[in-house]
Amino acid sequence: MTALKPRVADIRLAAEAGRDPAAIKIFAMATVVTGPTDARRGSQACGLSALRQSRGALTLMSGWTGVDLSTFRLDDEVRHVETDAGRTAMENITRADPSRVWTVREVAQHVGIGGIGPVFVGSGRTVADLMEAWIAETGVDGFNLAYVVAPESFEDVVEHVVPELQRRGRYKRAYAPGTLREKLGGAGPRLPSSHPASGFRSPRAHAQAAE
Amino acid sequence: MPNEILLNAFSMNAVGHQSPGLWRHPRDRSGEFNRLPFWTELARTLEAGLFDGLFLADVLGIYDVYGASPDAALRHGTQVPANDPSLLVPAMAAVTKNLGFGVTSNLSYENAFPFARRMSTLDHLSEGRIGWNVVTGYLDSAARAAGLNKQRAHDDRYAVAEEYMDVVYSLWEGSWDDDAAVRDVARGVFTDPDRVRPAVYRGRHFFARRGASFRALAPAHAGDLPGGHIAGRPGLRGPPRRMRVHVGTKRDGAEASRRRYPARRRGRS
Repeated sequence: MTALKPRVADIRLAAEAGRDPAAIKIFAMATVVTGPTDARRGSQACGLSALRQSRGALTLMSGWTGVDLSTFRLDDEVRHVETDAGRTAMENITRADPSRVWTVREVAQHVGIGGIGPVFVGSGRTVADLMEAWIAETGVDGFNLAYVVAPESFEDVVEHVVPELQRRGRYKRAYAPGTLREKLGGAGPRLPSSHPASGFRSPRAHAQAAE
Repeated sequence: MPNEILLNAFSMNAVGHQSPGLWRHPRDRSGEFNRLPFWTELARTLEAGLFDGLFLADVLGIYDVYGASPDAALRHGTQVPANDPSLLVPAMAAVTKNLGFGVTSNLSYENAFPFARRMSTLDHLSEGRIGWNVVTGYLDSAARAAGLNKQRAHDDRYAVAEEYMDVVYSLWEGSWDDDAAVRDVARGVFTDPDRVRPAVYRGRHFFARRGASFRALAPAHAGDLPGGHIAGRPGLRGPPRRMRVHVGTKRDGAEASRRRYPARRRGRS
């Protein structure tokens, strides 16, 4: 949450220059391990963790950050380095939360299930609680749900989490009509005139879009 | 009343995605990524659960930073092998009506025109359910695969990306009017040339000048591609540069178009 909240705020702030900040839909990556009860999923999560491959996790993290983590000892702290690879993963573990220091071993364990994102473990109710808490705290609109076991992870969300969110009035019961943009809350199928891309439209297309 | 929560599934056309090693789980079927039934069944499951979309990640390179070698990635199936995500979409669109599809495509190594045409094709075939995850890559191995020594410096990549977006927007927005394909049987006119103009873009990194046929056959309700990437990139801090860029580009582009293509502007029929 510490890493996410200021980024969401930055994006909404940037949008204020010409667009409706709420029209930008922000999905945070998260991984869900769910089932009928908390206890059952808790024990399964342990089983899943046993299948993690630390070297695979460090291979991912090295690629994302551009830093060869094989050159560190497992108990070494990861310190910020600027490279020409991605910047987000390194920011997340070194700067997003100044009170938290990550060792290479901790990075391997965390990234091993669900990458750099959070893992929500528990019954449908527990996961729904976590989702609502994350949204309230960070201002995201929803989640990109990664899997641990495919396609079972997604089937479990459909079976246990979706009905709980629907009971709470936090999830649709039918799709909205129209294009993906319209389903996500866009006013029409085309980009709005407030979007910079509309500047490429011909005068005639502008007139049509305004109709 | 709080808003409804949006859900995408996040996956990749590869064995394993964000949980390396879990391909060994007895019930994991991600190793079937190269077979269509895996994807069509997943699409149906997600649509039954009213998911907003399936978001497909991608990398063009191998994770070879760790140990300065691709061995660990290959051995552990760490996002390799990875196939093209966009080619999965038509099959999944055919078995669903509402599920959206977000496709990751790295703009650093592909000419904007064939890319824009491919996305438009997916837009048409999915009837407006496609989105693009705009990325510039982070792996030098992808640059080497494209015949370069290494990837561009981080901030340069984003500067190039800004222009690339202008080029694809000029192709998608500036070329064909929605009603250009008149399909007038009596007059024998399929497309009204007055409603088509070359997409002209001239920038520091790109020069584009194409008459692109993107809108012509789109279903009436198909729109532009929703897209974007949620990572906290530095380009998003401070005032958005795109606003200023686009105000200038619009005018310059229109004038350049008139200068270069006077005949086209008058039409031919």
